[in-house]
Amino acid sequence: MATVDLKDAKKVYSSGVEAVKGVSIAIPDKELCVLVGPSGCGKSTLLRMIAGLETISSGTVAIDGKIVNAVGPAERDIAMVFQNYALYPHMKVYDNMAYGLRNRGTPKDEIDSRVRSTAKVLELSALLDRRPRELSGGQRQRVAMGRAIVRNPKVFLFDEPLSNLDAKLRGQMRVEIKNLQRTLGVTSIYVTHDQLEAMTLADILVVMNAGLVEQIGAPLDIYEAPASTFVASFIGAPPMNLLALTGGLSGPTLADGTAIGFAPADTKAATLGFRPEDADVTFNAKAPSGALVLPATVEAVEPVGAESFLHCAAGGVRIVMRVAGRAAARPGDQLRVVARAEKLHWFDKTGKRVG
Amino acid sequence: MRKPLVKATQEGMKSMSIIKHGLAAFAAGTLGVALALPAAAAPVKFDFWFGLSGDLARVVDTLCKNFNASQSDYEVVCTSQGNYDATLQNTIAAFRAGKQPTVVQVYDVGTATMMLSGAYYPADKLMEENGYKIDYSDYFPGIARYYATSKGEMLSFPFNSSTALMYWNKDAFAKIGKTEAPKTWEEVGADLQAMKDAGYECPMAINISANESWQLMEQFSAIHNQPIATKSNGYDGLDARLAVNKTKFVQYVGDLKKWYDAGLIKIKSKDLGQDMVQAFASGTCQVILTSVGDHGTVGKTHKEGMNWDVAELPVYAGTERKNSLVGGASLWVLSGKPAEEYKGAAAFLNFIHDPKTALFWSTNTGYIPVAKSGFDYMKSNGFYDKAPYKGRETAIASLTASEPTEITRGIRLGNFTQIRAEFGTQMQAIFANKVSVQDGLDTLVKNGDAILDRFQQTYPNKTLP
Amino acid sequence: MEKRVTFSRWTVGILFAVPQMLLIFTFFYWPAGQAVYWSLTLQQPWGGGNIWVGLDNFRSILASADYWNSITASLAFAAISTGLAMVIALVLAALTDRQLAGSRFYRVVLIWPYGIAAPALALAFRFILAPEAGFMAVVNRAWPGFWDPGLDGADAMASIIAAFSWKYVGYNFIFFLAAFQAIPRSLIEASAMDGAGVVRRFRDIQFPLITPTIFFLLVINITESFQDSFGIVDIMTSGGPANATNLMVYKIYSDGFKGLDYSGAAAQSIILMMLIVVLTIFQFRFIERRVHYR
Repeated sequence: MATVDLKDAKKVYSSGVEAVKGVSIAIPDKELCVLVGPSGCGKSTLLRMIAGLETISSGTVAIDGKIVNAVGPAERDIAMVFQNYALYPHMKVYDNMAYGLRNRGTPKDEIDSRVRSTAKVLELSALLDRRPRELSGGQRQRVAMGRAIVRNPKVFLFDEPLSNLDAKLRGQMRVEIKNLQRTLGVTSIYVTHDQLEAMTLADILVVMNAGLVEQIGAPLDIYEAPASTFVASFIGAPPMNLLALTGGLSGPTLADGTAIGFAPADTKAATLGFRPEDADVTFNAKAPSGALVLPATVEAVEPVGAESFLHCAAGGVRIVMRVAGRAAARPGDQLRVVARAEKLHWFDKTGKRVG
Repeated sequence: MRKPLVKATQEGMKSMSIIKHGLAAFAAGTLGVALALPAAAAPVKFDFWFGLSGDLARVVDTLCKNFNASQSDYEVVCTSQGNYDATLQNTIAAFRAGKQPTVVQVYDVGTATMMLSGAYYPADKLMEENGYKIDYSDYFPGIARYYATSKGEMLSFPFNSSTALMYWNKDAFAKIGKTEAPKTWEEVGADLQAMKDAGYECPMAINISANESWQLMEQFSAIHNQPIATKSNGYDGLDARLAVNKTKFVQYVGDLKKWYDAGLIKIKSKDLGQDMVQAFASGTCQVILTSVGDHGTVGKTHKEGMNWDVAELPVYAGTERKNSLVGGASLWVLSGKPAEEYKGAAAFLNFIHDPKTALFWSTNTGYIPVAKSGFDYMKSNGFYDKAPYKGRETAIASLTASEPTEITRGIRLGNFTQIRAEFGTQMQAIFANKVSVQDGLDTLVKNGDAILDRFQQTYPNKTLP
Repeated sequence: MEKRVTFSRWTVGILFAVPQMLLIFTFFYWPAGQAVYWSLTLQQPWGGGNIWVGLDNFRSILASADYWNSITASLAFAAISTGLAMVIALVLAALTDRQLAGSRFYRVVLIWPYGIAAPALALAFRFILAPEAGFMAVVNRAWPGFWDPGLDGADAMASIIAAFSWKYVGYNFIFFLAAFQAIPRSLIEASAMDGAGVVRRFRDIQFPLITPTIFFLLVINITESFQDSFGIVDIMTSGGPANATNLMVYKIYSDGFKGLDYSGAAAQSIILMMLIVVLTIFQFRFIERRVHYR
């Protein structure tokens, strides 16, 4: 129904603080774009700029090809689900959902049919006469979604909509949102700080840091080829193991002086990284060639059922390894971590991906 | 000592006055407690509450210091209660709690209430018992009879006394070719018109609140020998009722109103930005009627180079002038105090009666001496010969214009404060053209009589002494 | 582990309640009882004695045209000053909440008036509204005789209403602003995205959500207009001219303390108390129904 295009969008507050420092994103029609990043990275501000709740200091925001910088939130034809749901406490569920339609002068019977059909989809039909305070957290969340859906807008905006729910409900709602979005086919922008939510929901994932976009792409592409050490450590749980390199006479060494034994993929490489699942753990002293071999000492073991995490000291830092099933290692065990060269990621001094 | 205050508190009401009076009584009570514990050989302390404030309160304080310095047996502790109303209210509250002062200053119209209170120790009896010989005939008769019982007993001591005078601007009168103050109201009317024609914006200023009942109604009635109430203005019984709607006063109000409508009289009050005395002193208005007590204020604050003087209040042509009424307050000694405090109180009253004290008092305030001896002493000292005190002897002349008649000796009506308030209300209604002069005064009498009726019912089977 | 303290014996609970009960008894029920007793008797001010007169005090008050005038004036004063104080405060608070230009200025300045004692405030207003020397003198110069609170009852009433409203605008403003600010910002934003303009947002979202505050202030303002008006009347008009501003509380004071008619004043205060009780019950019965508590 609509595309959303951001071109070098900036937000500078009157205090001089730059919250968003120039962001360009093109979101195709019907896709779900997730903005992810740590708190304070500007993702919520960016969302509010798209919503029209914050002015745009420079750059442009276009919805459906039309620049909306000077268009008020009501006229942008978008709907937003707020973190705290922002349900009108004095209105019944029905009126909460109908309010936006009434303001737009929709005929009464059309409002009624749309509210009731939306309520049906969201399984809210029995709750239409209740007030928000009589609903559970999950139900309120649905009402908030319903209020957005019933308007049939061009774009949905979600501002951390699941953060107030417990873990189980969150997983459930995540799937529901994804399905709903796909069924309705409405272009959506979703803000979260939870990388799991980001990975599972996104068609397009935007990783933000300090007001800037670090990387845009399909979630798995980003996972497999993080554009920076920041992305590498933000996406994935546990995060990628990162080891700083120092240039020695006989090639790069790790912080504790261990030589890596082969040439990095790029001469500018200053950090190497590997995912916890991308290395093998072995007690075997023999090392395969062309692989990074790190002597490691197990410090802690976290079994989570299907897999276990080994927290080890290696190369002068703490790394985490993921092993399937029950781990044989015990704290204090000496072992080797073997990562094949093609599974290694290389980053330069500024943290940018190289090689 | 807070018990009666709680009683007096109209429940649920958080009005300022209650807090204010509560604090005052509380402070007074605390003071009382402090005073109850004197050191062994210290002089006997007793309380004196008075209702003057500002400069006048400072003069009273000095008076008290002088008394304390004049002897070593007694020490008077003088406390201002702010104004006359508050002094009476606080004294009543304190009396009901048994924490009353020994001596209290009560204003002229509170006399009837005091006489029926049963809360006083007769002043003449006190003086006699303590061996002081006071020559009561020494008091100016107009003053003495105001406070005396119908049998002539002095239940309280006249203290600060004044009477009303006409203040007139000599420069303005010179403009219309006059060098003397007008003697009659007819003359006043013509003079005001002439001043108006000569370009004066405000020939005369009056105010018409409760306070001006004194000069407009009470003094006028006395000088013209017109009753304010039946039964000799209340001296002869609690069943006295108002009479002012049938006397010459009606004509007077009619004239004032006529002059006001013609722009010859302006209303001046503090609420409106400038009171009468300020209006006169600044040269804005040329004639005012006010107390001799304001003589000092006008003398100190009048416009540079302004020539002014005071004269007796005018009368209507053909009227035989009678004495004007005394205004001010007297000192009452309250019952229920120990004998040694009464000795102190007697010494204090004797000190105040002394002509030298009269000179001090009149020099520092605008009040007139209350006794002939005091007046003579001051005259012999040349007090009245030159500015700023010259002119104040007019007040004595006014007070002694005649031997007091049944009507001109004073007013003895219960809750007269409320009647004065009613006077203000009706005058305002008359001047705002809400009612006619006669209707307004009829209502004043009707409402005033209801107040008197209520007072009489409150004291069944009692008669004024 | 959380420890829960429970009282096994009710006597302990009573013991804790006693100080409060004593206070309420000493400062409310006992004086209220005294006032009822006084209103049924004729009290001699100096305490010399009293006479039982039954309902005579009430009869004479209710038969007095002055008293009915006082009730009318009080009701008019309550209605107009409460209306003014609340509407102005509501508008100012709404503007401040919207962060319009100058809002910081309002916020600071409007908190001051409530801190000023009524008599001091009244003195200031007396000066400001003095027809010859004050601010209104300018108006009077243009239209002579336009403003005359000394003789014109309506002008005097307007003066005390202005002073009282001014004081309570600040008080109401603080509560209104707090109420507005307690509304989550996201609600306003949600309604903005729901297509509601400023006026509609105020009507549909903000106004209903601050109804508890509006109701609270309505009760307080009306009650205070019957009580806190005393200092203002005392300084500005003394009940005049011609009783035009002789509000019930001032009449109680002047009859009771100045006129020493304790019994009549007690009867009036009983009537005033009942009037306030009735008004408050009315407000709770009929207005509170429209209040949305969150």
